[in-house]
Amino acid sequence: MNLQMRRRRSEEPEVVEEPELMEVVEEPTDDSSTTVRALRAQVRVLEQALEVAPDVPVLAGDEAAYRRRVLLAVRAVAARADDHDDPRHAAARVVAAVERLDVDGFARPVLPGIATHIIAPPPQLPAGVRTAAIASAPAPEPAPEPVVDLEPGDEVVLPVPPPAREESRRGKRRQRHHTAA
Amino acid sequence: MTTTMPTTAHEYGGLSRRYAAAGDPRMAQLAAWAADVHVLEELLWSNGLAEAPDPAAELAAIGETIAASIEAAAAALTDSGPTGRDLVEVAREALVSTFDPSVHQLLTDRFDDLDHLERGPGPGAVEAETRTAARLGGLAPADLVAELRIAAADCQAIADLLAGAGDLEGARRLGLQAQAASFEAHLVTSAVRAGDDALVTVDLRWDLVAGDAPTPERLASVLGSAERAS
Repeated sequence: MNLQMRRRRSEEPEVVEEPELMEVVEEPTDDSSTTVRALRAQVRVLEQALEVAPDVPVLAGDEAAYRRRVLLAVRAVAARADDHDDPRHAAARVVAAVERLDVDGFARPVLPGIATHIIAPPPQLPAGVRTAAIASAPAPEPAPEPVVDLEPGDEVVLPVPPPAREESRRGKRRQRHHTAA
Repeated sequence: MTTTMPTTAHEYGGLSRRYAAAGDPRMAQLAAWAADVHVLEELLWSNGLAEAPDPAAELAAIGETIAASIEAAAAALTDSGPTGRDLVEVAREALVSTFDPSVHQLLTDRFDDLDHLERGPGPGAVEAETRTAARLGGLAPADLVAELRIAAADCQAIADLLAGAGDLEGARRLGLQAQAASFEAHLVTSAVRAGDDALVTVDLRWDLVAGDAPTPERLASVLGSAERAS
């Protein structure tokens, strides 16, 4: 019974008379009683303000911009909707489109109706963490597909092995002709 | 002083060390192997592959031969439980032995160190099945690709409307997501086409660019050259 009464008081701040506070406050003098009443009034105003405040404060300008984004997102998906689309999927696309507005960065967008998640990539290592072998390795070739100067008639010699025989695939064993380096 | 841009092979080597440091030795092995493949590819291009009548066909032929070498090497493995490092070294040896001995040193000089593969699993280890399931979200790969393409088109349509309304920040955000969805759709398609049903290559490539706001050129750079040409 007592618990219920306490809870109701916390949900309805306007009826709080704070008898407990009255009990712990010493009887004020004439001058101080005005100050105490003013302080109590301020506390009540603050409590009421906190109860009506949203969890995340949104500035008026931000709210308008967000509404505009939502409108354009819904409009864009609606424009791409087809008569043959599954209505549930179309609705899920609208929901996903709105959810995507909060995402920043190169990331997989929310997919409609699918609870997917990508496993986080391994964190970057501190700069300079390399093994001695790598540091002493020859400089890498700069870029693929370089231009090779060839005179007319020159033969192109590539370190290319002959094409694989058809029967060498799918588990059929092949005799190795070369030894490892 | 000149600065050498890291090649894709070196980037995969770095990614391998990151996986190892995070405690995921399986992904570290796979990234190390991806680095080796890119080492070979870069070497081929720098030795005149572009002048071949059909470079993509040459690359495909090389891939077939290396695959056969690795199959043979795998068949020769004993059941004594090779370590992750052993497996990469066996695959590396199979790759090298596919070529003429005159090329062996060129390749081995460019291969990355494998010391980090000695590390065991840690908190960052993720089961292979878990990783694949997380990406698919219960969909078949083809359905995931379809969803990603729809998402990419929706994101781009929204980005265009936002840009038209002067909301450049919103347009940038949605544009990045459109780019990410298109990229992932391509990765999944490529993986399935190559027989990578576990979508390992998707994870490797995705993790290589994660955290950036990559340019289209950057995204293309983590693909194989034959893929870029197709």
